[in-house]
Amino acid sequence: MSPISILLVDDDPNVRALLRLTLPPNEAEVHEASGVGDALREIEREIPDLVLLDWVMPDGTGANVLAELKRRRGDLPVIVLTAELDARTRTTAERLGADAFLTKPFSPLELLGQIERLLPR
Amino acid sequence: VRNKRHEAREPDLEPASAPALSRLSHGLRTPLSLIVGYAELLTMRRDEQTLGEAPQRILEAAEQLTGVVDDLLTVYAIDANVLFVAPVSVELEPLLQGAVEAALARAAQPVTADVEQRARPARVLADPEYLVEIVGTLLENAANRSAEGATIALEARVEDDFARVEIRDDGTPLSDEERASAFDRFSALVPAGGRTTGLELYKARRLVELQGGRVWAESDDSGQTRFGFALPLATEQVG
Repeated sequence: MSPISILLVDDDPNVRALLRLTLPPNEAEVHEASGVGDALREIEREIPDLVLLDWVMPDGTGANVLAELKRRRGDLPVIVLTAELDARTRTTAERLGADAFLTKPFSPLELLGQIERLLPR
Repeated sequence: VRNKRHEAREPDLEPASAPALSRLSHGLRTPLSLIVGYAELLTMRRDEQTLGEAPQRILEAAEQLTGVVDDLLTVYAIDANVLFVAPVSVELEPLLQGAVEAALARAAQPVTADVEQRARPARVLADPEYLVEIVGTLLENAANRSAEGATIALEARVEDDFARVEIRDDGTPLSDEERASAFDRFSALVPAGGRTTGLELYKARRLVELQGGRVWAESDDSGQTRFGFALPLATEQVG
């Protein structure tokens, strides 16, 4: 079974390192983006199978990336991972088509469960 | 050594705003995520990579979280007028060198620093621990504003009865509004979502003020931006 392609979008390299370790290397091919601009360039290059998306980043919000992802492929699974507690963030993410919304600190086990739910193997 | 309680003054309180809460939430919850995440991975797996990586990452995140909590507590203490500082006569240059080395080691991206001490060696009246922290904050601010590999310049000189320390960078010049609010709490200069809470420059300003000094931020026509502070010279050096 070929690994699924996952794009990690988060400005914090330590969070990306945690996510990389969480995703089993034999099951996931991981790509990284360190911000909104970086993510949009990555999407231009290749649409992944699933996206883990931070919301507040120094060069913009995940809303820009989410909207562009859903415009390109409406059924692309996107999991928002954010430290934002404002309910409006969740509402906006869901309105733009986020498939799951996890707040930091998140449980790696729960994250893997959400990935399994969205991309059953 | 003398202990000095800061005279009561109106704290720079402002209504909590959504962006301010967002920054605080980011600053606290990001390192907490790393601690919780790596700890949970350790309970799930005992493979070589997890065992090798997770404990160190947990320690680093705990240190980062401690820094944010310390900032919050210090700012709270300053605003409540209950922070004690202990100014003593200290030689500036070794403290600056130490602060530079520590800040460069912590910088999120590789930068170098040129340190220039002008005029006579200065002794200032300051709390050494806070002085190192103030310089570290300004250096980190300059590093965050700079491109990878950039050189940050630090210059110290004596002017009248004060030692002036300036950190120069080639980052985007400040607008008038940014210059005026650079040292405010949750300053707009600090981008949301980064590794900072937006309290660092405010805390530095208040610590300088508590020690009888002042801060400034300015950009010039050559495109250089300077964040600086001045502290009073120790009594034996004045005049």
